[in-house]
Amino acid sequence: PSAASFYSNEEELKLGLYGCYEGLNFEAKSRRPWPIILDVTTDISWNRSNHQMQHIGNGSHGSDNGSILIFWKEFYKTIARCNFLLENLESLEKEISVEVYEQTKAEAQFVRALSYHYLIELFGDVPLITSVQGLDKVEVPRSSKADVANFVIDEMSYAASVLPVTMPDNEYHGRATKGAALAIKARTALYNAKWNIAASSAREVMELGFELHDNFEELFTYEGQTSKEIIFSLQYLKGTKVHGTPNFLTSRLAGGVSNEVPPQSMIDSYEMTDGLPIDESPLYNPSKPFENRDPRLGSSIVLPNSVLFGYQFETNVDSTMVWNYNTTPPSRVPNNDATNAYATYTGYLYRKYTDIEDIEDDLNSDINLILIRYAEVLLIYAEAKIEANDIDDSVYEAINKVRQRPSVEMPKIATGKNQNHLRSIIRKERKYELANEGLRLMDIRRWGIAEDVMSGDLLGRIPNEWLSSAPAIDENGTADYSVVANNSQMRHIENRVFNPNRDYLWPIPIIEILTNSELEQNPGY
Amino acid sequence: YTQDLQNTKVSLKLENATLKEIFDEITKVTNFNITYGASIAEDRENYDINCVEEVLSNVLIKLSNQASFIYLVQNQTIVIKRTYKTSPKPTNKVKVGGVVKDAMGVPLAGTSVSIKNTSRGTTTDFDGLYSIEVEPNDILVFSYLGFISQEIPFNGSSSLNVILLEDTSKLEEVVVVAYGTQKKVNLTGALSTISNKEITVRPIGQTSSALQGLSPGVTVVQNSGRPGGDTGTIRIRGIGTLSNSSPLVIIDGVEGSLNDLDPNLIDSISVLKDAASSSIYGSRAANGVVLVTTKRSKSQKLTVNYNHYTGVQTSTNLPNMVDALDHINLTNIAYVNMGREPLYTDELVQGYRTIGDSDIDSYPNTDWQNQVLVGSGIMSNHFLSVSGGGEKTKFQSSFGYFDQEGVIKNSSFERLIFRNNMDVEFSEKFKMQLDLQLSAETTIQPGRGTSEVFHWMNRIPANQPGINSNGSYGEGWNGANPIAFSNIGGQQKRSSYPKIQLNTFFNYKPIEQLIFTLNIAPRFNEYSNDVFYESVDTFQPDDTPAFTSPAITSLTRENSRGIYNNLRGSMKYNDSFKDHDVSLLLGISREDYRNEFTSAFRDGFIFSDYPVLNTGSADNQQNSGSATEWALQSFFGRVNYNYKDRYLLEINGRYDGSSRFSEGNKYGFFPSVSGGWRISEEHFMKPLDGVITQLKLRASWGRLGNQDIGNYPFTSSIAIASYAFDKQIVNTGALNTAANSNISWETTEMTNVGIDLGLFSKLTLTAEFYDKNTHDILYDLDIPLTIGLNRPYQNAGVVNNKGWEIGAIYRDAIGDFNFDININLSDVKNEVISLKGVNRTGLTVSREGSSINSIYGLEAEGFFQTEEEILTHATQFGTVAPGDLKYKDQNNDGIINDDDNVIIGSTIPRYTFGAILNATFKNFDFNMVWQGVGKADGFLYQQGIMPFFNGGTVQEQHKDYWTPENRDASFPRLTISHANNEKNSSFWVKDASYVRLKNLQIGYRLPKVLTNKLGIDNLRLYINGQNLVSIDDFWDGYDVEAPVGRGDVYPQVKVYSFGLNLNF
Repeated sequence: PSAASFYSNEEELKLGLYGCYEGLNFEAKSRRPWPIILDVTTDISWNRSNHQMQHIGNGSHGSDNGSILIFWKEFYKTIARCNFLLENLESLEKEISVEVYEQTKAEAQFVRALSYHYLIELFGDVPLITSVQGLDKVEVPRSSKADVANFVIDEMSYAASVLPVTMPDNEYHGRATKGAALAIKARTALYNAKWNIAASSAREVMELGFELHDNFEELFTYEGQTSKEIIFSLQYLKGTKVHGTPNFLTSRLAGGVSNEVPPQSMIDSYEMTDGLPIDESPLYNPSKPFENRDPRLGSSIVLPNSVLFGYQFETNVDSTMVWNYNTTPPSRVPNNDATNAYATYTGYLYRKYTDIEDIEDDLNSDINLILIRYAEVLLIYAEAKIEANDIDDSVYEAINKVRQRPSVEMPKIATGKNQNHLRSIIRKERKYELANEGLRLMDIRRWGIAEDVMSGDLLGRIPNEWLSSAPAIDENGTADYSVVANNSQMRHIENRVFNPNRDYLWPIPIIEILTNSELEQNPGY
Repeated sequence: YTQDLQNTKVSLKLENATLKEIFDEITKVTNFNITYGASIAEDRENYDINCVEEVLSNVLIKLSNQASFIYLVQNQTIVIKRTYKTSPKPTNKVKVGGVVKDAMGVPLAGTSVSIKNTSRGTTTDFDGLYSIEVEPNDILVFSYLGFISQEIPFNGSSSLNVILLEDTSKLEEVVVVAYGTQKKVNLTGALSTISNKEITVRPIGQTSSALQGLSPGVTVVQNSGRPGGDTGTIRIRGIGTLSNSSPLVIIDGVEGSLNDLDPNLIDSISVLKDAASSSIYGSRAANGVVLVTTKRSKSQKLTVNYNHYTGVQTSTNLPNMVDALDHINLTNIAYVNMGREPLYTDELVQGYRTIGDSDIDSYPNTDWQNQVLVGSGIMSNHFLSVSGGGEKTKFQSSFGYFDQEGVIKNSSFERLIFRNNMDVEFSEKFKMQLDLQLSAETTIQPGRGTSEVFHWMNRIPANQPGINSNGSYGEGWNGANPIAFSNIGGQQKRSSYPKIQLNTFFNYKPIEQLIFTLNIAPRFNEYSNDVFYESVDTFQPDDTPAFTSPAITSLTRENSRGIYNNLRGSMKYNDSFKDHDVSLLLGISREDYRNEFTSAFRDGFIFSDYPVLNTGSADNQQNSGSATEWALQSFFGRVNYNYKDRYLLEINGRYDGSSRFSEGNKYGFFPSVSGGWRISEEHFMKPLDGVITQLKLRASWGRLGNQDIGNYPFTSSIAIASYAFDKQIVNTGALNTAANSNISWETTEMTNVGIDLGLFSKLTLTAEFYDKNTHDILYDLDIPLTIGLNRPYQNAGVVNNKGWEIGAIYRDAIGDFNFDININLSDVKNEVISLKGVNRTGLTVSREGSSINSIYGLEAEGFFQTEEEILTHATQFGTVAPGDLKYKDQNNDGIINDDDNVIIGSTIPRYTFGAILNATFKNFDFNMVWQGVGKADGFLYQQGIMPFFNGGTVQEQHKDYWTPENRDASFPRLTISHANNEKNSSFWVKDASYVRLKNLQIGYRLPKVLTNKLGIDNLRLYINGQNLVSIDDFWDGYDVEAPVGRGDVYPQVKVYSFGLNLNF
């Protein structure tokens, strides 16, 4: 059909609305949806292949970076779809029910605002376009990040007032709900230092009946997809939309390629079960470094000598044979994850979003990918209150709820802490809880710690032994290996450069600068 | 139409007539004028003549035997000259006989052989043989239309073989032009012709690539040697537009594709280069027009022709990759250079040194090229044609079978073609042509595509296992093992392309000067593409499974079906009044096309031997379908006028309407005018008669159009796709491309000046100069991405092409050695004048002020030699060390970024040339085609040339890398995935000019005595070599004809072949 006649009935309107949602689901690297690869541009992950995403991580990216272009282009594509719907919706006003009309409008506004929410965090000031553009007036200047954030908050407020708490039974899940709108509103407010809005919106979400999923590890598998913790996720279905996350994350024995991996510092960041960092806790034993750790370490990360997809995962290079538990009885097989030159460079892997159900066809997974979940909302609430210095019991309650879900059960944070102490706690908590979910980049930027955590050598494990002692862990959970005697044996993976005068924002893609004379490039590019 | 004495048949019955009466009668029934002197006019003797459908030359010879005259043919005029009878009593009459042939050794049937100054004469038979009685002092005169007559004094020998050379002035040569033919001498536009002989001399599968090097101004680039993919990209006079720059191809009056024809089917090709020649094709002619005429039966005689060759292909160029140990050592150096740990251990290196190939499972050392390039590379062509007919019908039926196997497994091209060209004469006034062509082409590639095979073959390091010692497939690169996926039989991409073309002409000629033509030419084609992508299991050496890639076997079956209709009516009128010649053409045509596409998919195939949809799992079935159509409606006309055959004028015009544009923008008018002055016909040139055989000046101007921009550029259409919610599929609809309803034609205006010169009947020279301006170029100009839609086409660009072309042909003979040399050279300077100020970035870009598809990047200034140099230089990319590439800070802002990109090369070939030598010596013949480009830039990137690109391996040439001890190296210091060195920069640009021996052929025609015994007329055997010699300065290991890329193309091939031509 041609655009002139589109939306002649409710069915067509639905096509248009679903097209808006579909626009959000794009890949920043082949078969790697954007939320799940974004962490490689931060201190908690590294991409092995020579990809544009890797260049962002090591600071060699420019305004011609192809991945940055994808984010810009796809979010604006989604925005244009929403604008088109919102502009042409009116023609159906008399033909469809008020409920459908209002809800469709609110959903499109949600998708549009969500796109702007990401755009401003990645690029800073961006053109705010809210109507269909003709070829004659395409050159729109940038609006300030604050203005766009306000727009997102307003739009989400409106959407939340219209959208239902849950979709009626005959409608699909995976669409925007009141909770999703409020959660993104809260996150936008938090990212933009509007503490009160962030806290109050998060509080509203907390009253909608979301629940933390008991089993943390299961939340990122097929089993967890219908969890009440998930507020909004990207949708997948074999035959329609799939991703290859398990292939890129899993070990070589498991049929994967160990592509995006956590560095040693991420592992050392996790607390001991006594709630202390490894450099302070008496429970830490350098020769058994993974014992007595926050359970989220093993749930989020594949540790040496654990099992992944039925294979013993061991990255000590001297370990040439390992167990394959997929056979009965288990058998010994050559250990590619230690001997293959392209086994994980760091000695570790991410476990989130790897479900053994995908072992046979790991490039075509259809596990939904979470964009926001209830645990994050709790942490938003806590952080907003901490930053507003409005510290009350509800702050501790929110953090502790996350720390104490049945499968995690970390010690409670005791009350009575000051703002700075709580700030450190909440920042570390986000790092443990939300690792490999694409939120780290925004965090290190807004906390202003990117140059501290990003610069210098990215290190992997020592190939055939453990660190002789714990590194020093700072208030952000970042490890310093200068105090470790055998640090020189750690594997050097990449030398990263982070230019604080430039790298807190991505460049506007060069093509935009060339085609839109109203745009100004971000500093340093 | 062609006129000659051999082809003109007359029926005459006159008794007791004078010569004048007889000649007057001949003038009446033929198109010849006859001039004669007083002695003939006043001859009172009576002669009888009685012939039915007899060849005119025979009639004249018979008559001259009675009436003592000789005749000459000049320009449609038969000149009769009286001869005086010599002594009536011949004394020493001897028989002389022999054979008359042309320079290529083809017997010339119907050659007139006469004794000078007598009326005695004969003609050669079908085999060129003659026999005549002569006396001692006789001079034999051999003449044949279109050839230079030879006079040879009788020297006493009873055998006299003669070779006649073609008359290069070719006064009567007729060439195919748009909607008709024209005498070559009367052409006013720029046109090149290519004969059947020139394109059948090369063993090629795709006819488009056969045009390479043959005509000035016609550039053919052949990027690949892949069976079915080795087509030539034809560019006439540069690149005029930013989208599709391919010329319009017209086969027997109907739009078609050159590659649908076997070269043997083609009679001639005319390339229309300037606006005057092609503007009558209006909206599709901006890139030039290629007119193809297929062969038709010329006589009633039944002739059978069989042509065959078989050859073997080998790759022209392959990069020389390092072995496993070199790869390991060099990788470790690169890792250390990057501040990383060495990737490989010392133990491994030691193991390679001490144990190595005796334990390939622990120490793989795979020669990927050696194991992948295992296709037979055999190609062969069979072509059989039968022609003949009766009084009212004639036919030529041709069957062709071409089969080409690639240099890798699962790569082949096969074409089966049948064509029947029939002529039916219902009456003098009403005639019909009925041509039918059936063809079927099948191309096979590995399922992943051929470029994937070449990509991985040259990317995977030698230390990755290809085949384990127990014979199983090694893991390759994460399961990508090109040995496996090019070998496994089921893993195929099979495209088949059956086509039916009907082409009918009805010609009605109510009076001599007027002819009506109706052309109906429907075409049906189907294209199906099956991609069976079979899982390949790779194994660890101990037989545990490594990878299965792809995880699930799948089959995608695509089918598209097109129906093209062409209906055209035209009227032609021509007449002469004294010295004025006028002809007029008017026509109307309508073309439409509809294409329907369906695609179906399943996966989960358990029985890979049965790759049909039904054997796949029902779980994941997908399908899609679409349809497109377009139509074109046109009015066209032409007026030709010439005065005394000296002053020539032609006016063309076409009014085209296309469905591709919105209401109000559908129609465009494309006029042209051209003129010529045949200076050589002027009286003042008479003194130079015989020196300057032809001299003509031409000039033309015209306007052409281009509408080739997809089918619905003016509407914004909603793309229907799917998404899922909650594991349930839903449909989506989205506007993807911005609309531009104002879109209209792009218009090309071209001015052409040309000169044709003929010297001593041996040398002809043609030179052309042109200036071609294209406005309103349909271009998907970049628009801000914030609009959220794909960029639409806009009438955005202005491009200029200025160029010149020279063609020279020299023919001569030295004794039995006959030869001709054809040299062409042309240049075009291309410049993008305007793109509305929006310049694209990227590797090959079109930017204002430079040529289309220029190479764009940083200007490399060699290597950083010291740390200090890095510190004082502008900031580059990431961590930079000595030995890395240093880039010029063009804007002096202290940062190297995209603002420092400049044009660093041009990909448009300049000074393209071809040189063709044909020669015969007795029964031997020889052909050589050299072809090349004088100036062009090439650029390899990624896997093609960058060391260790994305973890790949390196080539032998990379060993010359920068170290403090080797500062003047060919390559930067070794690094892995180093953003700084992998930027697009002038460092990776190389000169892509070349000279190449495209073709070398040596043939031998078996002596008549031998072939006659075998019952055949003619048997010629030949050997042929393709691409035997290349001289270039491009990157080692890569074919210079594919100069921009990541080096994953199937390279051009050398072909050594043997063939034969057989007639009976």
